[in-house]
Amino acid sequence: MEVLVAAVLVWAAVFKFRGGSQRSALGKIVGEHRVVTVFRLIGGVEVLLAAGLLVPNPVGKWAAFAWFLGLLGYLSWARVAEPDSSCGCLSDKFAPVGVRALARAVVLAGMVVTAELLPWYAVIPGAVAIVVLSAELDGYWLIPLRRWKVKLLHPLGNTEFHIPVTSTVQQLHKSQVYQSAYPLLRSDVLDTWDEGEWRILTYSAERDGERATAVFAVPRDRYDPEAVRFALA
Amino acid sequence: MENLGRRKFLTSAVLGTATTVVGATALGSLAPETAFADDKWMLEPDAVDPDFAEGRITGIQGSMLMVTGSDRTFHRIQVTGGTSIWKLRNTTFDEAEVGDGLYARGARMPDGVLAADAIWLNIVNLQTHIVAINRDVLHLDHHGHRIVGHVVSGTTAAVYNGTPAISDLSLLQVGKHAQVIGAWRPDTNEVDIATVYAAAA
Repeated sequence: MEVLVAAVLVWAAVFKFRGGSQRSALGKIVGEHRVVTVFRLIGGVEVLLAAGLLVPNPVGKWAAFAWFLGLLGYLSWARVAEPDSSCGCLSDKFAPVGVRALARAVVLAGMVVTAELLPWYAVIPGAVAIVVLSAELDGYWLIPLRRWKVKLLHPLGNTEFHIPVTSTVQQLHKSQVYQSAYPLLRSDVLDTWDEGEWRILTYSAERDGERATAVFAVPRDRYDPEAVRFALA
Repeated sequence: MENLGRRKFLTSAVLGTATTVVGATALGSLAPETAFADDKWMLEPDAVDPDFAEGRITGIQGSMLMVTGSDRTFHRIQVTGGTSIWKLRNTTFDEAEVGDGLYARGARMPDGVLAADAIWLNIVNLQTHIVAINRDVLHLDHHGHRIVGHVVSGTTAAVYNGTPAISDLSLLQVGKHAQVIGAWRPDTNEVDIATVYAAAA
């Protein structure tokens, strides 16, 4: 069990030696320009703690426990004070401080102190718990899982086929007629309806101080901006 | 019925079966330069645009909207028959409700009322990541905050790689970036999706 916790600490330390996270809340305490130095210091402490865990002695264990409680305190503070900041714990991937990051600190602290009471195979659920609680690792298992689910169930595949009004408006914007009539228009789309192969769009318009309605007829089922027709009524 | 008659009239106007048509060519010069030569759009860089209003509807009186801006400015906005109203799609004035967020553009009257040309209700533009996809729901991450995006059948459209919009959303992928234009459901973290812009893999 100590090996698992030590591995997590070394992983965290390696990431921190590489420069740490750009979006962590740490900058708020120590100042932006010192973040990299502080990250390296923390990384050094984490390597020492990992070593202390691997050499059986009571000090290393309780030092690591205190470290994780400190982490829990820091994360709780970051969650309240800097809710948009990243955890900055294990990787540069943006992972906001959430319930999972807090739970991971608790689990790690718990693992350190209960290591001697648990049988060796408790490492397996322990490792699974850490992976599940690490938002940084979601890209490796959670996103593929969700993609796989979407592939199987096609949750968005049941919409019936139609031509969205947005599409007609896009086609209209491409037409020469619209581009020359544009200065007259005063509103967004007023109304729209279908007339045979045409989709009609109306706008309010103003010409020489008089209000009018601009009417465009856009081909609905084909893309042909040149065919757009226009009238002022 | 009146609306249907108007539609019929406008249809015949644009498709050319009626006699009252003013064709595009009959309008004289429609070159953009003529319109933009007019300098009424010029504003000082730090000036407040008088023809624009933003806020939430605090009251509706007839066709007048009472709106409180996010800076506590109070606006009165007059809606006319020529005002376009957007609420997830182009719609009519009776869909406006107290509590809706709003952007309005129009012309400021001497008495301070904004005569609106266009009103957008609850419109939002979000840069998000797709976190998960369920039946007719996209779970989105917006700067660390979760947003529930509802797919509205018959309205929601997708634009992939900048190509024309289509109704097929099945190319959206979990974990990918998506820009969402939609209508916020007031005081929730939910939006109805009008258009989603994404890259198709």
